[in-house]
Amino acid sequence: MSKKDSFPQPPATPDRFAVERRRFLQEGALYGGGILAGLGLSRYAVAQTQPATPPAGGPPARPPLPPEPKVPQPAPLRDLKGKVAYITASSDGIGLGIARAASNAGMKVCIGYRNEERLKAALPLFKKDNAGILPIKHDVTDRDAWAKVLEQIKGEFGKLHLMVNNAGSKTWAKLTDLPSIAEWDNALAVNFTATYNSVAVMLPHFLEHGEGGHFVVTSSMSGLLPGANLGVYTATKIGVVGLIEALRVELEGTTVGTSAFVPGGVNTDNYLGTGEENPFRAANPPPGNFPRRNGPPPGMDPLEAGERVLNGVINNDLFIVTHPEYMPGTKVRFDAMLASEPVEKTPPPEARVKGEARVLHAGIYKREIEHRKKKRKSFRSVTLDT
Amino acid sequence: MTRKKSTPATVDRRQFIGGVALGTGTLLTGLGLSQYANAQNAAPASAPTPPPVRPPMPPEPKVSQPPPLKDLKGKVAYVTAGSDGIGLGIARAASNAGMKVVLGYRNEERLKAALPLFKADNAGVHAIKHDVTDRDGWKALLDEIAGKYGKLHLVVNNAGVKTLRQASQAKYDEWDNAVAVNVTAIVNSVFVCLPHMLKHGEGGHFVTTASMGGLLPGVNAGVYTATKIAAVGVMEALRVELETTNVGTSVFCPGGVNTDNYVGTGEPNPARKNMPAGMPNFGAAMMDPLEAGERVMNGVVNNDLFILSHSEFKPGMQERFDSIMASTPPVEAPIPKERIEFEARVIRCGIYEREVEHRKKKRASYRTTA
Repeated sequence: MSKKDSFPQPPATPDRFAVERRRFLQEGALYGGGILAGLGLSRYAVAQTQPATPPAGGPPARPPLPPEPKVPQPAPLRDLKGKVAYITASSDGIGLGIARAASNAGMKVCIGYRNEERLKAALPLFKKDNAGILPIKHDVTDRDAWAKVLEQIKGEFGKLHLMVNNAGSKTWAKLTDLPSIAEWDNALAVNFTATYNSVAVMLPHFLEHGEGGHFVVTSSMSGLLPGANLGVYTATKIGVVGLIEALRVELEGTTVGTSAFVPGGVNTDNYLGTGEENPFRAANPPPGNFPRRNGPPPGMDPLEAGERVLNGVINNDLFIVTHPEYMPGTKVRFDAMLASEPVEKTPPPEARVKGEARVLHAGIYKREIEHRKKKRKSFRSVTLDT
Repeated sequence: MTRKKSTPATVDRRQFIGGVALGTGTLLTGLGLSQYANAQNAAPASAPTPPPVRPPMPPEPKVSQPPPLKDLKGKVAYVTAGSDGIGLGIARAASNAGMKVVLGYRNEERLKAALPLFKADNAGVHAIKHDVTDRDGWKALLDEIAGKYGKLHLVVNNAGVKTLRQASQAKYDEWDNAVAVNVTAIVNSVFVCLPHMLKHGEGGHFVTTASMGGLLPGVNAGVYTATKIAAVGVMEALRVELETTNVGTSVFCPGGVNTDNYVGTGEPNPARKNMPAGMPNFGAAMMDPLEAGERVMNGVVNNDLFILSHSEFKPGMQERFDSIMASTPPVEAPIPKERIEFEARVIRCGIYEREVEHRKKKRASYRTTA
């Protein structure tokens, strides 16, 4: 079913990774493991991965809860100038908007692409005095290729700082009416696992150079509000938002930031920037089942979307939201989850709550709320407010 | 593994859902999608065809989907990884409610210890060795269940990979295995079992055992939390797709359950005399697995989208949601009317509005199956 047996292992993580991370995170992992025993886990699988030998002298004593960071993770990439970005699938659409915004901000930009024609149409759109452009042909599901991509970037620019996982599989398939199960496998590989692939290869490099790194994923408003009746797309987009949240928990104590970009409608069909028609799209209209709109596009301009992503990067926003009109609907989703908590006649047993103490809150959210209280002059500026 | 494009699901579903799909299809162009991937799937365009007209917004259901399995007695349940832990709790609760129960298992010893725990006058207990990542195994399983009990009504995707691995450190095979068991196995089960449920028409239901880690990823073990969040998303997406059929959907997100040493209140787990290395022993402090199972069955008879059992997680969940809402940017300039119209089909999702209404109904008990 998968190519997993032929997949090589990710490069060994340098020891520095373990050292750089704050101690509390490591301890959190250890203790988190303990509580996971009861968190909806079947023992089924535990047995596969755990050694069968019981510990000598009974289970280990739980050490006290380690201290937590008091403030949100400082933004690792506050100054973009001269830094290097790699954006997958950036020869068109939102990816191109992000790549152009990054280039305009003075970054050296690596453009992941698969279609030569589209790349050819995209390259002239970068400013003449750009800091550097490197196109890289890359299929994000190819794990061997990820290591080669990093080598290519290091060869050209020395280092990589910003990794934008923008490639996405657009599929009309429903979970309940898959033409083939391969439809699911492919969407999951591109929309979800590709981000993990990027982390497996790029994170050790980020930690090694120590100049700060950042992972962004282009999810979708469908990753927060699955209103579209297209479950393969919405489920994989929800999953990848979760992956970024999980990575924030893990990387909060390092110099590597994390953001999930969740756009609503963006004009990816016909336009590249306000009033700039997309030459590739003009020559290659979308197929008939993919209606092209007549008249001015109603969505957000891709270059504006790109600027908003970079504003999120320099601020290290966990969620880069660009379309406020979706948020009332999103709140109803959360309300439905909260309303599903049982209203019990008796409070939960004290011993249980005590045992769960380490997972009843995730500190990243508390700190993100604090982070968001800071006023911001602009959500499009690629330089920090001074 | 492929099947013909047209399944009973297509027929069974009301027209309006199809209409929405078509309509939102257009919009999805801009929803975070790279055209990169679009071009791969699309057939090469020969002559440009005129854009199809978007059908008007179809009427929506006014109330949440009625529970397809209101009466469990005599119905057939399949619980993956049902020989131990939460799965065994669900299987016993289902059996106690009069269901014929099929236990998925992989470990003979554990199964042997589990079987005597079912009541002597059960409606039927049958065990099938099954690896949930084996897609051909799912087909064989459905055939075996159909042969034994005729029909299958309830599938509980309970098997889960527990891994303490961080997503930032996981080896490829650790990641792939967790994704295959925690996420893709659900899709496997739907692919094989949904057509059967729609065909017999007596009502069906899919449950997934996710975790509170799927709603509040507080644990510093990203392979686990990310795959559990994805599993919750799969079940929500399934609700959207199946709302107008007679197949229900629930995701169970438990907090602490005594899966280590106990199989029921005061009943020590015979298969669990020894803890795996490194696992703290919580004794009997957590929720009893049988109680967890009863809460799942209560969620099934009510067709709850989210079956939550541990109210102590509510403030932490609220914090997560608040942080997402706090990320809403200010409306700097009026949003063009055309954009809102363009997005109208996806800027809200009716299943949640209806779920909020559904949850306003008082419930005498969260554990009864009647």
